[in-house]
Amino acid sequence: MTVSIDEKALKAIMSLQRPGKPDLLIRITDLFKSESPKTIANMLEGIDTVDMEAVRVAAHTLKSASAYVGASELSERCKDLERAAHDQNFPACMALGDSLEDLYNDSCAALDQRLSKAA
Amino acid sequence: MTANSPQSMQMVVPGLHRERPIVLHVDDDLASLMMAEGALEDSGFDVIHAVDGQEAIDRFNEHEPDLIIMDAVMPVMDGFQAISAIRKLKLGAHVPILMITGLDDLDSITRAYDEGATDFLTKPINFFILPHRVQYMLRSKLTADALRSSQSKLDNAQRIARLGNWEWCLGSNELSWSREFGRVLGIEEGVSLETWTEFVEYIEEPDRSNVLLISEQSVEEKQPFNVEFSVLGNSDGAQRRIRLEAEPYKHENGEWSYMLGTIQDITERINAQKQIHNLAYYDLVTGLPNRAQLTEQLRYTLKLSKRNSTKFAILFLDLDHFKQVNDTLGHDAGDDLLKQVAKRLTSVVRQSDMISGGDDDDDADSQHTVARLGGDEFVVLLGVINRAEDAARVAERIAQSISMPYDIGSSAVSVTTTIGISVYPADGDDTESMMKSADVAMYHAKESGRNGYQFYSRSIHEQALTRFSLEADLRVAIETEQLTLAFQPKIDMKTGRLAGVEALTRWNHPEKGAVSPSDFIPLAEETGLIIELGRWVLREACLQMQHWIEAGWPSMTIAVNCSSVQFTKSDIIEDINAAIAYSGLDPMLLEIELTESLLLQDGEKGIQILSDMKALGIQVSIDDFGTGFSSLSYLKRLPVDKLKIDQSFVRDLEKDSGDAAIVTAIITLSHNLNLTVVAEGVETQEQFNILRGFNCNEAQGYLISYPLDIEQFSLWLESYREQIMQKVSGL
Repeated sequence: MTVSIDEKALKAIMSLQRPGKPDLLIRITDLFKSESPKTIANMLEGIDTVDMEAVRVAAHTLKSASAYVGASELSERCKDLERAAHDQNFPACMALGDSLEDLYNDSCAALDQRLSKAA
Repeated sequence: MTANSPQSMQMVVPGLHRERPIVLHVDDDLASLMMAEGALEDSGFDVIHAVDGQEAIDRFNEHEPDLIIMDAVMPVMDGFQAISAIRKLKLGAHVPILMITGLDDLDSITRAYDEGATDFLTKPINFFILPHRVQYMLRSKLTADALRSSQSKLDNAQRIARLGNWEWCLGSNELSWSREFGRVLGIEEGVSLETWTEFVEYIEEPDRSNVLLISEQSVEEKQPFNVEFSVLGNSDGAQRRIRLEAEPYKHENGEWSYMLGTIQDITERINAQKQIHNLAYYDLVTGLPNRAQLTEQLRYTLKLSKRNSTKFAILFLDLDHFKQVNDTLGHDAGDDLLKQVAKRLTSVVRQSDMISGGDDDDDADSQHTVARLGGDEFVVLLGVINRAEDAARVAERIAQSISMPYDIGSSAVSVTTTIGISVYPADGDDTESMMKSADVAMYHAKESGRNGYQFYSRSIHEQALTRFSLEADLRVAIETEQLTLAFQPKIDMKTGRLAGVEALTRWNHPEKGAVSPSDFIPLAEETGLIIELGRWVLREACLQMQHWIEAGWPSMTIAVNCSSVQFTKSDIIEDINAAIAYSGLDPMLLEIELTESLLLQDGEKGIQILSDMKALGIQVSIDDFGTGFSSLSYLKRLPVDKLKIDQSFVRDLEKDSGDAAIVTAIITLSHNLNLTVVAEGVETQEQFNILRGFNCNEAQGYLISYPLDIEQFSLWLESYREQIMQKVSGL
């Protein structure tokens, strides 16, 4: 399963780069990779414990974070999850959360590949 | 810092107090924070971060940021709660807050505004647009601040000045007004006032009608107007004085469609003016007018006295031994004494008004002034007096009243006063000299012993004393019958028969002997004693005549003089009636003599009294005829029986052809009007002959007889026929 990275999002980050400052794109992708596992863990625990509010908050966070780094598929999935959690639709949450970790890992791989290419 | 200085050119938002405005960005999404930071710092902002609502509040207090970007959904405390909390902070009330919400989350947008967000932005955030949005928000915040500050300054200025403004739409009658307008009028919070008509109802009558009239007229004429009126304040219900200014105002379409104006509470100003006036013109201890006020009153009195040729008096007084009271009992006791003295002075002067009242001056109250010059010195200004004795009488009352004991604290204190009096115009013709004369007179009075009064002019003083004692004596004379009647006969010039007698008053003073009627009659008139004296004369004259008639003497009229005071100030008809009833005399035999000038004074009222006299059946004659200026038509209307030609015409009859002509004219005229003519003061045979030649009816004078007392008159009567016959036959 291949996951594509939205170039527009990356360009947006790079355009915000100011000369002499640490590389913004690296900082943001690093932040994404370091913060997201915790968020995903929260989300999955929420699904396990049927805590829809925890699911919603986590989905919302990951939705924004993934959108910034151009992981559009992941962001879309989180958006659906957020909606399902908001609607208290537990079965939908379970279905959407099932392969979320895989999608995240694929997205990270795609992102790394894209960045190494750039470097 | 000026607008074109280099620093201001660099400013992101000109006018903001920070060169680089601080933006507080609150988001739990660190990526979002990083990207926004890049965009904002690039555009000239400093950025601080918070990852939840609670941290946002802490950061806010710490850094006082110029603007907040707030994410909606966050752990610990979400964005809505944070906004609500920040808005409650002192510095947070007006800080612009940009809320970040989901793209299609309408609920959040609405809620954000409800909690106090300034604007919103949807996710995903466009970080290129963000700095522009932030800049725009800061600019509009400055504009809003300036407006708020200007509004608040205006509010404060209006509050300090107690000045409110208003706008009246003439078409709809609607009225809009500032906060202070409401406070000035005393409109309670929440009470609506939406029209000019409702506003006018706050105004007290009679001002309300006035305001309505003036405003209607000004609207009609498109003229500015100003007016003052009273309203009842809301807090204490005390009346407040308001000044309103208004100006017509043209709408953009060129029509006069508004009145713009202000109202200002001027109560304090008016009170201050009153207080200043009181401080300037009244004595603080006694509340009496002070020297300044007295001087003004004196100037006015002087002007009035000059114009009306009236007299006024200044009584200058100080308290004897006042210093001792002050020294032994203290200044408070001294002040207390001064207050009580002031009260007594005012009371005496007011009573004097009532006593001298009825003298045509209804506002006598305002013509007299009691003032304190300072220390223990007072001045009483008697605005109008008839005679110097009036002032002496008031001085005596003052001296008596002041000398009564005072309760000061727990002690009884006695003081006396010494009074100096100056009388206008004798003692000075300006305010300074009048005051000085009174002052000097007071020192004279002190020299001659305290607790007394002294006139400035020795002659006035003596005259006043003399007239005082004469007045007292006359009072006694009337009571103890020192007065007697004298009788002077009149004869018929054709037959020589006795036509009547005139009763005259004589006063035989036990010490001074005979006092001339020309001395005591004017005194009796001035003091009003003439009324009692006149009653006595009427009764005695009627009684004597009745007595003679009962003794078998021939019937003849008895003439009694009536003074103008009796005529105008007493019920003369009642007195005549009483005398007739008491004596039993036939009214036909009583004749009342009135002077021509008296009748001229009183016009219609005089004619009425004359008619009443005629109705009693008595006879009326006009005395001293020819000295007044009666017109022929007036004479014709008078219901009288006789004219007495004044002796001044008779005196020079032999020498002065003019007098002869007048006498002839009077006699002819009188006969045409069916009046009997009596010549007074006939002293010589020649006068008698001439008058008889003119067909004069009766004569009276030394040629016939001097006035005689009762015994002399009895003797005269026994032999009169013979005497008269001789004179008549000797023609």
